[in-house]
Amino acid sequence: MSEFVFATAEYASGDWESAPLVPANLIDSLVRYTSLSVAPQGVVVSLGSAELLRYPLVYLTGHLPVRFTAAERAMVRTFVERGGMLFVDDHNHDIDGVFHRSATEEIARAAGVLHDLPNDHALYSAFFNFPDGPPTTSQELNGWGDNLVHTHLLAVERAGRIAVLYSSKDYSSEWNYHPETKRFYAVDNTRFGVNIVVYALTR
Amino acid sequence: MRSPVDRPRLELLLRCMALGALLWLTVEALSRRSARTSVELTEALTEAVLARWSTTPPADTLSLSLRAAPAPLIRDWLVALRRADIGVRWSDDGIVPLMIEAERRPDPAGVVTLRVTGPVGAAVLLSDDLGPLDSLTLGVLGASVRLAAVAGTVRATIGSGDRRVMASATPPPIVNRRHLVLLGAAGWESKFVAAALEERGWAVDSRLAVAPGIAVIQGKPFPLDTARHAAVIALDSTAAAYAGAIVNFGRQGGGVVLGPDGASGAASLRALAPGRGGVRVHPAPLSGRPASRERLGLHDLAPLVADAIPLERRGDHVAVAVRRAGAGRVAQVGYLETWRWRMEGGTDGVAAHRTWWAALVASVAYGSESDAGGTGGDPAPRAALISALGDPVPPASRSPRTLFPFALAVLGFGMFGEWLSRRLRGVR
Repeated sequence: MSEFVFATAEYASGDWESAPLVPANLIDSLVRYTSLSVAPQGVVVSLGSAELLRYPLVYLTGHLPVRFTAAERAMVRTFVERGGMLFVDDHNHDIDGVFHRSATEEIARAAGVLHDLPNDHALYSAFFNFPDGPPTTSQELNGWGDNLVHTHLLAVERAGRIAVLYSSKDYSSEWNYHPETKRFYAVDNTRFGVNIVVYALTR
Repeated sequence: MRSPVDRPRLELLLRCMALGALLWLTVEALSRRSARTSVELTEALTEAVLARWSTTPPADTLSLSLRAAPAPLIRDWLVALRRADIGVRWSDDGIVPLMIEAERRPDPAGVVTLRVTGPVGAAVLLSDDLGPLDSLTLGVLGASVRLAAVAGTVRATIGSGDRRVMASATPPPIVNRRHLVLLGAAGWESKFVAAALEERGWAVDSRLAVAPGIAVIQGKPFPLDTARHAAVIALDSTAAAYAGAIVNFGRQGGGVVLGPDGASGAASLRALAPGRGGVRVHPAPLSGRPASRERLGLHDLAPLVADAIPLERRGDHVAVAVRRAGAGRVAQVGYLETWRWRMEGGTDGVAAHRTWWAALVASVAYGSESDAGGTGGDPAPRAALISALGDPVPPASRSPRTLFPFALAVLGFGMFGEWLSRRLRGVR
């Protein structure tokens, strides 16, 4: 059985490496809560290379405007057509900010138009239960950025499966800490990350 | 002067000839007493003609000279005439024996396998209600073709014009009432196998293990039941917890597909598996080239158990094998990480991966007899004609009346010859 490898997308524009601790933190959670075979180290994969197709779940984040190259756009299209799932998180936590506007445009060109994902979607019960939909982040609750709680995630679905999952909730900031710090949390805030991975592996 | 011929012996021979001819004529007259008349008919067999014959038969025995196999309705009508004490004989001018079988595979996509047999080398045109489908050239074992879809009745035709022979079969409607069960650990293989089969039209009930005692369950995978499920796919050793149910399901007629590690967790599954192998053949390097089935990692299934059949090989290694298990069938797959074929394959990787898995599942999936074989049409016209009316009667023996003049001549020659011989030697 092949092991799950957490892959972070490197793209030509923007700051793709803005949340370097997220992979290690989610890998730690996967090992902590599941019996999935998980590679101890994540990988960075170029969005425009065929290597992308080796990792059916890819995480993409950043603060800056996103402009895919033609090769990146074509490869993202191929990736979702073949069943891959792209998880995009806006590291800015704002509404209609530069990352949001540019990333959603690029996603629409490459994979299709994003729509609100219902808060009773299977994603929210894939492993842990989130009956109210996507968990809030401390950035939302502390009133940083736009001072709003984003009630829904966005998604592009193909054949009943999520092909692109888009978040404006800034999970990249929420999960960007060393896994050892997790023991100080009353409730592990990376649990929703486990749901994303388990959903990608089972649906 | 004494004659060189032994006159008494000659006369005895002539008398025997005459008596023999007389006996044959008597027997023939008695045996044909009820067949007072017989006509040889060459007119086209139509419903109007048969209706006329049904009320006013043209003769006690109808001898039909056929140029083409009659339609089922005409054939049945001739049988009815025979059962109404009207003799029906037939001969043909070389009606080509042709047969077609249409089998609906247990595949929601509606795949139909057509098998055609007939004269070796004959060109057969296949068509359905919408028009031509394909053409085949028959070999010693006939020919077969697998079609993604057909509309209505499928016809196989040889020749043209009034020499045309056509066999037809109607495959049963698409039956998609059963589900598949997928068992395994959460991972890319289980995800993409389920995706491929769902894209094909199957409803997949799954139980994918995520953590000890925790699984993602979709649909209703248990209890395994041939009334609901067509096949169970056990991808890895996590299926061992359900080994007993899987074995019973297979014995009851359900299909079982075992992944490379699907049989490794339980002795009963190992006993069910076609393969006994264990050598892992490492994949060829994938860098820079699209993945294909030939370049996937492989768990060599050889050696196989005695009743297993290899379906796919790679060199000396067995990649896929099948065997029967009770009323069901078991397939074992040696390929590792087939999802790479879908993701990293060429432009046709998704379709090829989907088609391959669908065909593998269809080869073992439970399908009742009523689901599989066609019921309508006229699948073997000449065979049906022989079954209904008996073998064709060769024209030479068609009418013993043609031998009557010969028999009379023998009779006359014998009697006259004997009389003449006796008179010439002065004996009365």
